[in-house]
Amino acid sequence: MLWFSGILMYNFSILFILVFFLASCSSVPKKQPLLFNQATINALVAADDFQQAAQVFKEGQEMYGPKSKLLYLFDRAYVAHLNKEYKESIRYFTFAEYKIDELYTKSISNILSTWILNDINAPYRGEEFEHTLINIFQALNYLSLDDVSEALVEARSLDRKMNLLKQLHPDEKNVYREDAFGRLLAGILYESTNRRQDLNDAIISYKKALTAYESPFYQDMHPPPLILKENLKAAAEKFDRGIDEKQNMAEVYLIHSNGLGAIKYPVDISFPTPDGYLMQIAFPEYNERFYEIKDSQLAAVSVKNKKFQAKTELGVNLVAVAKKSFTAKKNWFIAKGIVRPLGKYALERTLEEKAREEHGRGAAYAVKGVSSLYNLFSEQADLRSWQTLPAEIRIGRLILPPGSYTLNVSFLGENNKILGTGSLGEVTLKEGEKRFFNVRSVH
Amino acid sequence: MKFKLFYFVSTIILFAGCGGTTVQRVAVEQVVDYSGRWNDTDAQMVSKDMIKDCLEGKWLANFTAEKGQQPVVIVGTIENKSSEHINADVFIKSLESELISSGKVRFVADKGERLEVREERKDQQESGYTDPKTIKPKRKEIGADFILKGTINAVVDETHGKYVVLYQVNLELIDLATNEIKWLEQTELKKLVTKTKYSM
Repeated sequence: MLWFSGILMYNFSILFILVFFLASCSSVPKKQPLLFNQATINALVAADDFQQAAQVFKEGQEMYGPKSKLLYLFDRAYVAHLNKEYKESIRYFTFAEYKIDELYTKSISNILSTWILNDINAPYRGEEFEHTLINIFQALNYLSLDDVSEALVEARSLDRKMNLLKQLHPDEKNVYREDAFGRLLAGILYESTNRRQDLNDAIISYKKALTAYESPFYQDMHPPPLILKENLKAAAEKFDRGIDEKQNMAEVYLIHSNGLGAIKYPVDISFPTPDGYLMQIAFPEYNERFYEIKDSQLAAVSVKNKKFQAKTELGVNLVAVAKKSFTAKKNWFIAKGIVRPLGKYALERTLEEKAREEHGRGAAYAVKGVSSLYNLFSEQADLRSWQTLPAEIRIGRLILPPGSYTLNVSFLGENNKILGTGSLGEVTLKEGEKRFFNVRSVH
Repeated sequence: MKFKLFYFVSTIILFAGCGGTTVQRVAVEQVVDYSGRWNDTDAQMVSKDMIKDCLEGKWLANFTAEKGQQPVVIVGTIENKSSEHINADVFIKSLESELISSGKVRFVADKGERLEVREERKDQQESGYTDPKTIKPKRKEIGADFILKGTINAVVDETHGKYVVLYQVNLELIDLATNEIKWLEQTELKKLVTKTKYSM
């Protein structure tokens, strides 16, 4: 730091510019590579080209920069999941969990720099609902590999996260502190082992899911899926009275991830101060993206050509969850967006006075000009979010007699117009068996 | 004063992005805990304790006295009932290693390994490339007398920044002929994990 002090002694103006621009190198939002690379991945996912998106990830490590490592891991793992590279997806979601653990410790210098420079200076920590989505997608990964035991580990991990969230928000009813869809999926997973001790856990999970769907956070989004109510009733009957409504039957579940999740856009407010500085306040807002598919239908055709079909139901509206989670924190973002420019302004005014005293009016004008440019350039909203997420996750289920079936899915638009179909292949079901299929639609 | 504040803040910002990677070799037996998750040290500690207890059980002396030979053991599944992904293979290999090095029991390959060995034997017999004198015959596999299987449970009590986890490992030795449980042991391992909320 001695060389730094030396410069300070001789040329204050140069130092001022140097400090801000050196700081800019490490701290001010980098439009490249994060935004460019994320937009590339996002565009490929939106174009349904999961294979190419996965390929792009394989060609470049650290694509989102060191401050957005978690975001990179979210996208990389989820794209691998979409590309049916389940082991790869498990690997990267596991790294994401490790990263979240690591990010628990917050750097004071980083926190300070977010108050002075920009929120993008802090590492991306992810939203709480994004953390839970790791468990949901990991469970789906393990189910795709026919590993119910490891999928159940995710159900238990989700339970652990929810317990912590409830401690964090003990009295706040309208914040994200329970994951309704995650609990529903956990219940189905517990039930799928066909063991009595797990059936009890299934009932607890279903009850928690129902309570969550009816809580203030979820209740204005959509009603609880009928599958949840049916499963809870059937599991309770089986546990309490030994009556198995699904006796001698098998079940096929369809998890349909639909549409494109909300993305953040910047709200920038620029204004001059009475003494001629240009200031900017910036904070993010969520914007929804259009998708045409509104519903889906699962169909099974037996070898005797008997047809079974069921529509999917909304399990979770991720756009609504993201927006509502953000609303709870929005005032904080806005407050920070106001305080930060005020702090910058106070510092810049001090520097201007110092420059005027030591080097005259010209230097003072130079400080003001550079400061104004810096204010506009540095004060930008933090737009980071997990953008490859679907807008919603739907769930459908068929209860079928054991046997062989051909499975298909239809994607429906307004007025049940069929917008596309897909084959899920052939399946042979045994009594008591539960099979899971994932599909993704983006249009 | 204000200027000093500016100087201090600028320094913090400049150093905010600094960092690097360092690598240090450590002895395999050295205990290294970072996250508090189940790790290789836990697997080795638990397997060593439990196999020692298993081999001191009466079942071994009874079997040897009755049959006049060492029992043949196989390690079955270790079911993970915790909230973290535990690499059961590491634990199973630790158990196998302890069993083999004890010299008190004979040990046969597990289901997956047997399939691979059978493939190899089939190749010897059918490919025509193997010296006939060295081809290994069928029906020489040794059937296990006992299967060792178990579960790993974890009870977590957690609050922000710290948690206590109690791992409970249950192992049981089952007689493959009679389904009789010949030995049963439970070992517990407790960890207190604290995380630092802030760093510079």
